[in-house]
Amino acid sequence: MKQIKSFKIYIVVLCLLGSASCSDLLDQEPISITHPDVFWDSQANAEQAVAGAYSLFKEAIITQSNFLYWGEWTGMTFMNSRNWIVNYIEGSGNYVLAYRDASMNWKNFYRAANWAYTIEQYIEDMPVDMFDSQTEKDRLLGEAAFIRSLTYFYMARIWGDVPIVEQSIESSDQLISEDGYIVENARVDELQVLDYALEAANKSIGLLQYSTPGASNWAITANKASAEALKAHISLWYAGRDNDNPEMIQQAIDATTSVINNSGASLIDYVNEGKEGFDEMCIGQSKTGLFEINISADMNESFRLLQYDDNHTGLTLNYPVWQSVNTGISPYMDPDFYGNEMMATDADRANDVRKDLFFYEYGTNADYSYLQKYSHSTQDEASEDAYAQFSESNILIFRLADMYLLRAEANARKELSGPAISDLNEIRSKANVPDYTGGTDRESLMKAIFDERAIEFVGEAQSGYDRIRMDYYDGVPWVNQARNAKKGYFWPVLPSVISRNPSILQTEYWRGKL
Amino acid sequence: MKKPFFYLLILILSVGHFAQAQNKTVQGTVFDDNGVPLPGASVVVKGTSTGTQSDFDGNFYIDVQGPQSILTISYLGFKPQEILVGNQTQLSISLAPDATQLDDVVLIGYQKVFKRDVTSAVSSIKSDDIEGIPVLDVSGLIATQATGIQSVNMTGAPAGRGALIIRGNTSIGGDIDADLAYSSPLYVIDGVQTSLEDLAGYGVSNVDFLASLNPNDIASIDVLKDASAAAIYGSRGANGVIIIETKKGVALDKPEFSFSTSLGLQPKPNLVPMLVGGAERQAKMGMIQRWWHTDELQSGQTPMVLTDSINPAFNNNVDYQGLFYKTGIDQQYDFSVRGGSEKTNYRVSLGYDNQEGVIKGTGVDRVTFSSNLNFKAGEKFRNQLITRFTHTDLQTGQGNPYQGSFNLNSSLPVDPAGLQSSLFYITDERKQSLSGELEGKLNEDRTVNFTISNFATFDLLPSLSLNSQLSFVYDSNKKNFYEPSTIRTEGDGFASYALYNRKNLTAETYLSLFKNIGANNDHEVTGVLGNRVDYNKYEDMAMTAFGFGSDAIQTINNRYTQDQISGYTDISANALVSYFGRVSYKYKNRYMVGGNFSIDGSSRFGKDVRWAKFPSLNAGWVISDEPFLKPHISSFIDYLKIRGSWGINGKQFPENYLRFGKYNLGYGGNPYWANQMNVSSYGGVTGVIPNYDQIGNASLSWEETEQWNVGFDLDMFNRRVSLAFDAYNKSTDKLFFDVAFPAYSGYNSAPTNVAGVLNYGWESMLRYHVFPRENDLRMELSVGFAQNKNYVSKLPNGNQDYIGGDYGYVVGRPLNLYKMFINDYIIDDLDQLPVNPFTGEPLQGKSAWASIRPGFPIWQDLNGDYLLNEEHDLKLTTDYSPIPDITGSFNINLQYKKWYFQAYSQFSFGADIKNTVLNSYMDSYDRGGDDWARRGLADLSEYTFWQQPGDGAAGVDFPAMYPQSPTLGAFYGFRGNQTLWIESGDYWKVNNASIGYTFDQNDNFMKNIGLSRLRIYGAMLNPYQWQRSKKVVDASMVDAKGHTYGNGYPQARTITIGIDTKF
Repeated sequence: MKQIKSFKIYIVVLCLLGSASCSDLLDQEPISITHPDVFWDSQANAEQAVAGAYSLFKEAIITQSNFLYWGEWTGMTFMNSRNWIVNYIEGSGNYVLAYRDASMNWKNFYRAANWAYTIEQYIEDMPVDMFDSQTEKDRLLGEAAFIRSLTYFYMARIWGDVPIVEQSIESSDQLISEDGYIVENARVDELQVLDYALEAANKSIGLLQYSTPGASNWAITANKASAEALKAHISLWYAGRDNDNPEMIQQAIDATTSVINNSGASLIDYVNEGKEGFDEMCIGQSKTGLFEINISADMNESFRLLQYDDNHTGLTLNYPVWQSVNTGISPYMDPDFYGNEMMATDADRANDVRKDLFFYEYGTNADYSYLQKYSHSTQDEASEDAYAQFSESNILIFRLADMYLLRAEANARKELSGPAISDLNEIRSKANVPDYTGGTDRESLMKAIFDERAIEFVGEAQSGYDRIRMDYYDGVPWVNQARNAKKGYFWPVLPSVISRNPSILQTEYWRGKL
Repeated sequence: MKKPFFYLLILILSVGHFAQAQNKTVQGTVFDDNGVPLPGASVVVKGTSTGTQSDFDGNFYIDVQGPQSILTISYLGFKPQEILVGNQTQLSISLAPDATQLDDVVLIGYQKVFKRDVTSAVSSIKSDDIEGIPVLDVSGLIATQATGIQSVNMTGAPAGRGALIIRGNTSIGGDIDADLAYSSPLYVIDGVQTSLEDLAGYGVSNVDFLASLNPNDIASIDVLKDASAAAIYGSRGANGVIIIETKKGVALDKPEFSFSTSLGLQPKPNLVPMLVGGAERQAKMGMIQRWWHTDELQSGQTPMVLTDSINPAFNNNVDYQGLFYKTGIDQQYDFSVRGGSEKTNYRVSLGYDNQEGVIKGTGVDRVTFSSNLNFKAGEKFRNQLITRFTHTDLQTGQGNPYQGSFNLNSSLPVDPAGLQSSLFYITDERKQSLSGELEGKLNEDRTVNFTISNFATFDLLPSLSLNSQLSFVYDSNKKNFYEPSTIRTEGDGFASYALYNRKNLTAETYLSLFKNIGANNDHEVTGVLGNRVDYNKYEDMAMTAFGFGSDAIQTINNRYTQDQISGYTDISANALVSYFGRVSYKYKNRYMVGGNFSIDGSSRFGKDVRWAKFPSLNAGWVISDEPFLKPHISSFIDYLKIRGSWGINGKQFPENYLRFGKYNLGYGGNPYWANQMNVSSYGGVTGVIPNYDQIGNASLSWEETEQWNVGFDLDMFNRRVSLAFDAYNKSTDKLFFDVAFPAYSGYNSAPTNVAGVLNYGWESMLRYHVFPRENDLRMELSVGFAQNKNYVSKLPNGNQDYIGGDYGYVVGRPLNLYKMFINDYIIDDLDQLPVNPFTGEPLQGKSAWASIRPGFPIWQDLNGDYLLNEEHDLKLTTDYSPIPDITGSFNINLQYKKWYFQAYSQFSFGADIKNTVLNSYMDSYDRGGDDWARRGLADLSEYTFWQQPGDGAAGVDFPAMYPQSPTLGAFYGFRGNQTLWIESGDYWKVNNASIGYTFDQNDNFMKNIGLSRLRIYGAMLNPYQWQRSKKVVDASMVDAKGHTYGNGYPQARTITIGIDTKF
């Protein structure tokens, strides 16, 4: 019996030990993942989060070459695509692209914007001593605010009204109500969205510093000039959407002027710098860049040039980048397209050097001419195939020429033809185009500025947005008053986005069309 | 074993010396023939009223008057034995079975009970039932022996994975893996619990979980089906429990050796016949000439592969099937020894299996070792040490990727339904690589399972014992891979090494009570109370390297530069703590009630929702033993018990850290192909973003299953007929479902405890001994029959229908509905098309498709807009379900003297399955381009196709199949997502048939060769399968979405001869 008693004590002890250690055992802290509770503890981590936000924005715009669908093909200036998917747009202005649902989905933008917002929240709360200096903390905050602003600006240009998310979404409890329903979030008026973007741009301007060409992250991450360029774009878009709102026009003029004076960037002189200048501009981080998306094999941030229609190299390049001439995907320089017609008929353009710099064999054979802005590449060393090439062309978002032409447009809107023509001529002069001699009325100036933008930014996904902002649709056969009245220039919202969040209303023009 | 008759002899001789008797105490243990202790055996001193019962572990103490006393030991289901005590004080008694099902001992988790006392739904399988079947893995046989279990075949590959589903599938999800979307039971092998979700590497290697267990080591399998039975396993019992006990050591006077071996042959399977070389060219050219217009024929667009018949690149006749398939040889060797004394005994077994598959380069080599050591220290302490080791070397052919999970649909390097045309030239290296025979290619997949478990019992009181089981399990899967530059398009060499492993530690401590009280032992109380801690740790790693250089080096070393090598490691862990108890009370062997309760906590859940309670209740009544009834029915009813149970079980999800919002490191935002460049940074800084597939949710918690069960067990006609029947209602709630999040959140979807699935139905097992058991000729027929109704009962967002990529859910319908166009008719004449009354336009397809022509399939225009398109007409079809309604088994056991014959079969009815194989063959003909010319062509002459107007009305099998000409667009008339491909999944499959002869000690020659038992048998696995659909390759091989695995590994027939010896 004595033995039994001692065993009983042993059991009791065992059970007690068991219970005590059990609760600890159930707190398994992961060592293979990082999560919000432990992540925000150093500048290095904050830097990585900001790099993630840039990457999210990069993915949002280059996925399936969306930036071209949204901003380039809709403009119908130079390139007539032979790709059957792009033909939906070029044929009838149908933005409901087969197998390209992502072009109607704003999810990737919200990832970039929400993550930037979350980063701002966390960095605000991190003590300064986690950073090298207050300036560094401000820089990271400023970059995050820039990404948030840029993202909302893109959404406002693509869809008009969109929801605004002003919270850091970190738990499913924020998205599902107690009874299992999705928390809905409706679209808000585009001007409110622009206000929100503008506020973030201003915040960013207040926190960032100017940089200089040659600095290690020049143009591929945001500096103060990038943020001002963004502000200029937002303001002018705002003015365009709000009956030439004079305050916004003025803001655009101020912002562009500040960029031109302070950014440290300078224009590429296509005449004197020729191909070298063009190549530098496209490869990126050039003296003229203000903000661009980095594509660089050296930094392991590239992809393989592929002759498929799911990326911007496949959709713009042709032989001899490819082994043989492509007649299925690569576009041709349709002489009937607005830009080509303009270049052919405008006598000033006879010696425009951009024809030869930007295009392969422009004018020689319209069928096989192609845009060279995304043609820069280096060999993939992991392959022995000569056509295994990594892309080296950055995606240019803002550059200095854009600021001159935006300022010209802002002045034109104010009927100030002098300064407008002066800025316009500055850009024309770099391309061997004689000074502008046309009409000084607003309409003539707007056309001249649009034409200049069309050739200068061809392939940089500007003309589609320019048409909306400048309300100039010459050469786009499917645009009409009725469609524009129902905001048919905006992209439709993907039906599944609506079905998951039923308080979203489809853009009027697209109702019943999907 | 100390043989009783031997002692009897001695005792008879020496009886005189003990004439002066003295009282003494004898201690003994009662075992069954497999060495499993029998609790509650009755021990009576013959001719007296002195008696006792063996305790929970088969032990008893009894006072006898002297050596001349004779003990009568009886136990239901076993032949009674009489033993003369003699001068022994310690007896070890092994009872021979005299079995009927009711008298079996059943394991119900921490306790053994008689089948007759079981009040919940349990199916039991004894080793005898499965021992003569030369399988590597018993999981395919379980459904032939127990009802209510759906057995899923996924591959015919040796040791290949399958799935068992008890009482209906509850696996639901927003993006299911159709190979894994089954609600798998908990496995308990010798007390060691494993749920498949806990296995790291499961789903990475294709090895079935039960393939780690040598079938020859199995003593019994008990399947706990209802909530009450599984309740002791509370948080892990929701999908049922399969308890497997291995054979144990036993006291024998000399060691008993067993040796068995078998040799099997798998003939090359019959496959879909392919047209090869000239036949293929001729058939395809014939199609062109039949269908193309003259101008199309002259356009020069006829694919070069067909026209250029003298080009060496196109005039080949590669027989891919001949390339891949072969006759396979199987060998099995098994050796075991058991013996020892009553105090210390053992069983050790060693097995070796080598199975070649019918696909070249595939097969398995398995070594199993298991040992079982028992000892007693003193009167009250017993200890059992179990060790098991399995090494599996899987030859995977080409289907196995270099790391990551195994795609069951790619046992072959190329999808056989999408084979390249036989006309193309391929290099010898490529051929060798395709058939897995390329020298210089390394492809190893090895799995090690090691289990060591110590089970100790200390008797605190005669009726109360303290038990402790400590277990350590180690699982490891390793893959070595090298692909030489000769077969890689980039011309580099590729090496990979991957390791997945899991360590599991379990400690269980519990008290068990077994007590009889009152006069005649009318009251019996049993109980269990204990706690359990389970800890898993997983470590994974993988490395890969690409580079140019010598193919002689197949490992990753300094041949590669640093940036050519990439890899990862991962470590994670989880813990589960459980407190459990059970009490059962039985009165007069007729009335039984009981209850279970467990409280479980898991590290996978947030602090507030970590613990859950799982109760259950059960009761039974043996009507047939009621005195008022017995005299009236005993002539034909031997036994009738009715029983009922209710309980709640749980289940947790497999992910360890879902409660945390996770950040992804190394994100570079590159959506495009970058060959080997790993884009993980922006501007040179590694990117970090939230994981948009997994939002943090600290409130995720247990899935719950509430189940009712009522049933009866009936034995009739002198136990020649026995019937067990159960009806159940099983409602699974708080199931994990991926709720699709709104786009503004950025998140795709995340699991939440929202969905529900209801299964209800009934199952019965009827066994019939056609002749009395004393006959020379004995025949037992058994039929299992189960009907299960499966419904989705709750979905997120207010039961909104869930529509996924190719499947979906609707409340009130079964799981995994097909998303398809509904075929209406094959059009003979364009006048058949309905005309839109508003526009006067006939029905048309969407603008991207070719315009409708005679011979095309016409689908239902579900939204009535006179336009066929995916947006409005491709919907979930509620008429078809991949879930079977009826499953069951039919078995024959025939014995004539020493001959035996057995045949086991199972069947499944009511599933609608999708013929993905035929779909694949035909689909390339109407997709644009000349894919059809470049792909292989099966002989489709068995099927009818639309040829001319009138064929549609006549009901041909398929629309017009013709090669797309360059001037016509594609209508996608053979697209996969249309009801055209739905076939009946009904099948009846004979799993095995075997015939054998057993020699025993009565055969004279046995003594000469020194054997005590010799069995010679021949067996055939998969000898026959009937299926309703003649169009599908194998109706029994489908995934969770109902898609046929026709391009996986066929279940080949195996013909085996074998011997089984004991000496």
